[in-house]
This record gives sequence, C-alpha cells and structure tokens, in this order.
Amino acid sequence: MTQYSLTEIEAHCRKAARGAGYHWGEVNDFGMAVRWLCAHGIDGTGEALMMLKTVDGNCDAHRPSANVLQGAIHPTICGLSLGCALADRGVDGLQNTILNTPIIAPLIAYGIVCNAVAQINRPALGALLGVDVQTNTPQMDVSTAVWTALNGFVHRTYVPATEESRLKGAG
Amino acid sequence: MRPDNWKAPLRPADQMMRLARMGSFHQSRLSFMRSLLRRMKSEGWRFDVKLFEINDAGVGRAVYCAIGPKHTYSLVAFAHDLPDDQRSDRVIAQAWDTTFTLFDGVPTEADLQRLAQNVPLQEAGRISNTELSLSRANRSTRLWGHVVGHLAKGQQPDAEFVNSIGYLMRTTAVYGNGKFGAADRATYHDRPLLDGPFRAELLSVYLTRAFVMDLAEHAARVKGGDTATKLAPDLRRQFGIGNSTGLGMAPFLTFHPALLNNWIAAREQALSRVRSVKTANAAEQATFANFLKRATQNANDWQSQHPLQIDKIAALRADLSALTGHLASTDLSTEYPWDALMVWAETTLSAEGQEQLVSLLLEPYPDLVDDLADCMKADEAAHFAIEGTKTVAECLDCISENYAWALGQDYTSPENSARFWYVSEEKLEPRLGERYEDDGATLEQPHAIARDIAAYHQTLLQWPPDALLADVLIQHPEHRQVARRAQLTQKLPYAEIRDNQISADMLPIDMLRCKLSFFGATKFDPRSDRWVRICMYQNAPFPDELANAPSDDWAYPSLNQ
Repeated sequence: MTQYSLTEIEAHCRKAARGAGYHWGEVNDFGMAVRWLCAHGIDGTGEALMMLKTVDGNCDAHRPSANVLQGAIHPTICGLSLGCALADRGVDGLQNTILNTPIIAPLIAYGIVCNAVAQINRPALGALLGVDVQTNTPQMDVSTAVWTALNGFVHRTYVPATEESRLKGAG
Repeated sequence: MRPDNWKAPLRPADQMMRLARMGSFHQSRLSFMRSLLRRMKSEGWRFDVKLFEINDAGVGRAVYCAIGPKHTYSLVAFAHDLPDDQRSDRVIAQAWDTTFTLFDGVPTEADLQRLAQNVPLQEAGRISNTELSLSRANRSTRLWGHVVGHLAKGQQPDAEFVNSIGYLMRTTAVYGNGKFGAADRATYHDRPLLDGPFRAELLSVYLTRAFVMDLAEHAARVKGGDTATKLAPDLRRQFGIGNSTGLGMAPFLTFHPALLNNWIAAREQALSRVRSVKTANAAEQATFANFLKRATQNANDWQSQHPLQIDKIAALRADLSALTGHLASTDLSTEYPWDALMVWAETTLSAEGQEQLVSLLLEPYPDLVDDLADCMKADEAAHFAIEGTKTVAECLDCISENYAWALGQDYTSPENSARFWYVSEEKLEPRLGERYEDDGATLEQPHAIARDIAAYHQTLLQWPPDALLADVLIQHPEHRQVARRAQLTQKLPYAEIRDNQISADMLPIDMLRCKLSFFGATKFDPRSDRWVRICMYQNAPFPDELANAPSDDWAYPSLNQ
C-alpha cells in the first residue's frame, strides 16, 4: 500500500480513463468521481480499475442512449457515461429516470453525480444505481497492484521518448 | 458629463484574452509575491534559521522557519555537490545543486532523515501530507563563481554583473498541490496566508532565496577563511532567485479556467477602480510619477537575447519614454485623469506599454486595489457541473457571444492545426509537436479548444433549438470538454484564452509570461518560443529585513541603484 494524495488519485484515474478510450470531458468527470469516492472513504481506485478493465477500448458499446434512462434495456452501460448523463440532468434528473440495464461500476456513476450535483438526494441515487453507500474518513491508500494496473492505462497516453522529441518538443 | 458615481467599464475579454496581450503583462500590486510579503509583514511573521549544517564541500542540510500567528512553515533544504556536466534546467534532469521541500510545521530529526532519503530524488522520491511543496534549484555558474570568488577575497562582486543576471540560483520546478505525495491544496487552502493561489510555493521560493545567499557566503568563508566578507546589504537585495520554466506551465492556464478568470478579473477590476477616480491628489500624482521612473529603470535593466523579447523591450522603452513625455504636457488635475491616460495609451502605446501602465496605475492606490488580491483564488470544482437542461439555442448563443474568434476558421489547414500538445513518457515532460511532421498526434492533449468548439458548434446546428444539451451530450460525448468550457465562459468571461493554441504562430511563452506576471516575476528572458528564464523577489527585503522594510516598495528597482 502507498498513500497517495487525492490530487494524484484524480490525475492518475483521469489519465487511465483516457488511456482506456474515453473522451476528454468524460475523463474529467471520472477523475473527479474517484477523488470524491476516496475522499468519502470508498475504494474508488478499485472500482475505477474494474470498470476500465471491463470496458477497455469499447467505450461506445457501454454508453446509454436517452431511452436507456427511460427504462429501455441495453446489454450493459458503464458507470462513467451513465454518471455523466445523470449529472447533466441536475438535481431533478432522478425523478424521471428508470434504469433496467446492468451497470459496470455503479459507484463511479454515484461519485460523478455526487461530485457534480451537491444537492442530489443521495439515498435516491443509491437506490437507482443499486448501491448501498456508507461514507467514511478519506481512503487514500492504494495497493501497488491497483496503482500499477491503472498505470498500464495511463501509459498509453504518453508519446514514446525519442531523441527528436527530446530535442524539438520542449524547445 | 459623467455622473459622480461613474464606473469605468472593464476591458472586454476579446481584448484581454488574446495571447499577444497576455504575453505583455507585468507584475503589479496584485501579484502573489507582493501580496504574500504584504501579508507576512502585516501579520508580524518571524523567521529563524533553525539548522545550517553545510560542510566545506557545500554539501549538507538546512532548515529555515517562517513563524506566523497560527502556523509555522519550514523550508527544508539539501545542498549537493553536482558535477557541472549534470547541471540541466530541463524536467528530464536527474540531479540538482540544491533540493527543497516546504514542511508544515517544524520538522523533527526523523522527518529530516525521511526527507533526506526522498527530496534529493525529486520526482523519483515520495513526500507526504506534511509537505506542501517540492522544488530544486541550480546555480548560475557564471555568477556563482564570480560572487564566491570576490567575497572569498574580501571584495564585493561587480554590481553591474550581478544585475545583468540577477540571481545565484534558479529554480527549475516548484511542485505543490499533492504532487508526489505532498499535501493536497484542499487541506490548507483555507488557512490564513496560504489562502491565496501559489502562496505555499512562493513562500518556499522566498525562503530558498535566503538560503541560497547564505550558502554562497558560506562557500566564500570556506574558500577565503578570515579574508572572506559578506555581501553588502544593498547589493545583496539585488539578488533575486531565478526560475527556468518550460511548457509545463502553459497547460495550467488552459485547465484552470476559473482561476485564470479570477486573476484577470481582479486586475481588470483594479484598473477600473483607478480609472474611475475622479480627481488625483498631488501625492497620488507624485507616486505615479515616481513609479514611472522606476519602471523605466527596470526596462533599461531588462536584458534578453531572444529576438522577440528584444523587440518587446525596445517597444516598452519607447512606450515609457512616450508616456513620460506625454505626462510632461498633461494636466493630471483634470477629472478622471487616469482614464484619460489609458485612453491615450490604447491608441499610442504597444501592448507592452499599455500593460505596464496598468500596473503603474495601481501603485498610488493600495487602499483601492489591494483587497482584490483576496479575490484571486478559485474553486474549479464549483464550476464543474454541466447544466444539461440548457437548450441548444442557449448553447449556440453562448458560443456566438464568447467564441466568435474560434468560428469560421478551417482547422484542416496546416497553419491552423500545425501543432499538438503532448506528454512525453520521458519524465512526463509536456511537449509541443508539429502535427504534420512528428509522431504522436493521436495522443494530443486537449488544447485544441478553438477547433473543438467549432466542431461542437457544427453539431449543435444539427439539433432542434429546444433540444436539451444533456441529450446532445449523450449522443456526442466527444464534445463534453468544450461544452463544459463554454458554459463556464458564459459565467466567467476571462476564463478562456481566446486564441488558437494549435496554430503555427502560437507562442507558448505568451502563456508563461501571463502566469509568471501574476506570480510577480520580472526580467522575462525567453530562451526559445517555449521556455523562459525569469527573476523572482529581486530587490525584496530578506526575511530578517521584512519587518523594518518599507511597505511593499521592492518590486521596482530603486532610483539610486
């Protein structure tokens, strides 16, 4: 176990989601969600890794359409894109939402919405997502295995080092 | 006739947020170094060299404490024996002359032992939540040798040579906010003193300057023995601490839009308050005239080898000369004299000169503007949520209002998409590539705001005006980043750099200059279009002088220098 700062956790997970194929705006929500979860004593990095390993490279296949939020059935949706869709609907969005589709990493969706919509009804959100969330003191210890596995995704976002890049890129 | 409560309008974002304008900013009363020292002076901070264990080879450790009413912060410094061939300002360097951390409190011996195992490694080490920053500095080899050599012989160094470089060491990175295990800014951002942007980092730099001067005098004592002398206090203060900054600083402005807005807004608000002054009394006029002379001295001292900066400095000197001439024939006892001066400047001076004038106009009015330094922090998270219940029509209006500069360009043309920003796997150094020549464009970082806004705009045009943004983004998650930025810019007009960050003629040094001017840096000396050397705290009182120094009077050279 290594203790990381919340800033490190957020940045690491944001980059990892990018490495898994998500769009920039989405990965910002993802990083903030994992940060929120860890700040509230929840194993955000473990949930993040599980989701990225499951979705890896197939992000489009796990995105909800508008009718999925109205109860339509879809094979699976990921917590990241579901969380974004719910967060964008704001504090009243839960009232008109019905979910009948399995969710990969529902805690990520929970974190995205709680982070973005401070006034959200958390019990109702938990019920919608099928998660029972107990918050606690911050959880910033991350196992080497989880951090390293996330780093595998992160590393995909870096441009390989070359002599030309070293000479030209930074001036 | 203007009404008595006439308020000068803020300068528009379309003018202020162009890179050429941002790249012409100067330090001002609102700069963070100045507000930090003002605060420490007013709160009666004390300073103590708790430990100075440096051997005759210049290797060892030191602890410099800043002791405030509620908190103590300690610079923990490590001095190393660095071979000349390893001295590099690049992020990819592996070793440095000196390494530092700012400790929260007073470190125990166990803390120092732990830090000695990690701080010298910099990015390859780990610090903890009792540390607020991590940094390093390298010697200016030319000036270090000159100063130590002269002091060892009992002589003072050559003042002109000192001034031509301005520092004995330059920092090459100052990390904060949770980096490498350090405390998250959120854990201390509500403490007095550290409640403004970059306060912890700039406190560490302030203490670093003091340590570096002591280290040089120590080296002179070792070399010269009883013959050695110390620097004369007036000359000593002319040493700032340098900084060498590359592309890593540029993304910060793009990815902290609320903070950028608040910096610019505070400065524009300050300018508006001064322009709204109906009559300037004799003392205020005299203060302005005095600072104009000092700014002229500063411009005359400013040296750079870079063609772009040479031209800018020449323009600034000409501007200050024109301003001096204009003042000689201008009656400042008329109504709204400062507003009239700005109106004159906007049609007469270069951007360098106009922005220098803005900084100078704040000097006579501490009571009017200094409180705005407290408005320069921002909670980015507070502006993070996307209001998906906005309609497509509203989103289009927002783009028309704030992003006209980005529309109507062909982003497939090489000149409009020439560059891409990326992160190298080599020590994660941020770099800039040529899209049509270099590998790696598929790993582009999201700096192409102009191009992406234009694409978002095209998508929105395909939707019914009353459709909701949330529904657009479900189908088009690729626009999520700029949809968020556009909403933010609607609320915070100075949040967005209003220039294409991937164009062929974009100059990263403009972004660096903007950010560093808010820090309070001077003597910008670009070494290419993408990295710059600067000076910090030059002429500032040292910690042991702060209590008795004139209030906030150090940021321009004094006229007898």
